[in-house]
Amino acid sequence: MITESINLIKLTASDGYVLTNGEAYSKEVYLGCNDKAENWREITEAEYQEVLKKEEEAFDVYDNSLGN
Amino acid sequence: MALTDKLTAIADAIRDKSGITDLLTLDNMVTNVADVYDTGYLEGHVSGYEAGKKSQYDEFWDSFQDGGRRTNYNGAFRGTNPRIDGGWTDTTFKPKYPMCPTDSGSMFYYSNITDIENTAIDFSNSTSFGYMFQGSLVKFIGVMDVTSCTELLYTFFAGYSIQRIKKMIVNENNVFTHTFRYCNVLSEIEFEGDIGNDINFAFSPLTLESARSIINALYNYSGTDITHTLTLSTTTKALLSDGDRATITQKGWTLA
Repeated sequence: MITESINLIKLTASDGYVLTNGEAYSKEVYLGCNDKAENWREITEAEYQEVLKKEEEAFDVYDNSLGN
Repeated sequence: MALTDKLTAIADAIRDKSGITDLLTLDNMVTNVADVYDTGYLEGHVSGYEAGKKSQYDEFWDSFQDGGRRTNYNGAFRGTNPRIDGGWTDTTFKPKYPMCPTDSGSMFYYSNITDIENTAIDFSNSTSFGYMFQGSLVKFIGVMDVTSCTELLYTFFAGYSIQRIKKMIVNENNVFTHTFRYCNVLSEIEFEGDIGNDINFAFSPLTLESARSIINALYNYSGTDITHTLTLSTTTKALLSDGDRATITQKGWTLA
C-alpha cells in the first residue's frame, strides 16, 4: 500500500473572470512549485476576448503579407 | 517454299503472337490476325503509356527536387488562401526523393494533401517551420524533429484537420509561439526530448496518453526559480489524475 501526500495549489477565477499571468489564460490553474499566486490576476471575460481579438489582428497582418 | 509451308508459317506466327495452340483454318487465320493486332496495340499502348508516365514523373520530380539535392522547401506544397480544389493532393504528392529540408516554412500552407505520416521527410536540419500547416487538410503527420529550430512560429496554427502527430522531437530551447493554436481535432501526439518553454494545447482534445507524454517531456525546473506554463484543454485536464497534476507542478510547471 502506498500513501502519498499530494500538495496542489489551485487558483480558480471568479464567475465572469479569467486568470492570467500576462501570457497564459485559464479559468483555473495549478501553481508550479516555483510559481506564486501573486503572479496571476483576474481579468474579465470581455478583456480576455479583447486580448484574443488583438492576437488575431496581429496574425492577419502577417497572413496577408504571405500573399497568394 | 510450298504454299502449305507458307500457310503453316503464317499460322505459326499467329499462334506465337496470340498464344493459341489449336489448329488454324484459313478463316481462323483471318480472324486471329485482327486479334493479334488488337492485342499488340493494347499491350504496346499500355506499356508505352506506363513508360511515358514514368518518364514524366521522373522528369518532374528530378527537376522539382533538384535530383534529391533540394533543401529549401518553403511553400513547396502550398495551396491558395482561400482554398481551391486541385493543386497538391494525395494523388499528386508523390515525391521521388526523401526530403531533408532546411526551410520548411509554409510547406503545406493551405495544401489539399491529407496524409504525410509515412512520407520520407527528415526535419532535423530545418531551421524554419513558420506557418507550415496553416489551413491545410493534413490529418496525419509523422516524425518531426524540430531541434534545429528555435521558434516554432505558428507551425501547426489553424491545422484544423490535424488529428495525429506521430512524434515531436524537441529540445529545451524550442519556443512554442502559437504553435498548436486552433488544432481543434488534434488528439494524438508523442514527445521525445525536453519541453523547456511555455506550451499551449488549449484547443486540442488530447488523449490522456498524449498528455502524459507531454508531462514526461517537461523539463524539470525544480530546484531553480524558473517557472513555465503548460496549458491544456478543459477536455484533457479532466482526464488527469492528481498524480499527473503533482508531477507537472513539482517539475516547476504551472498547469493552466
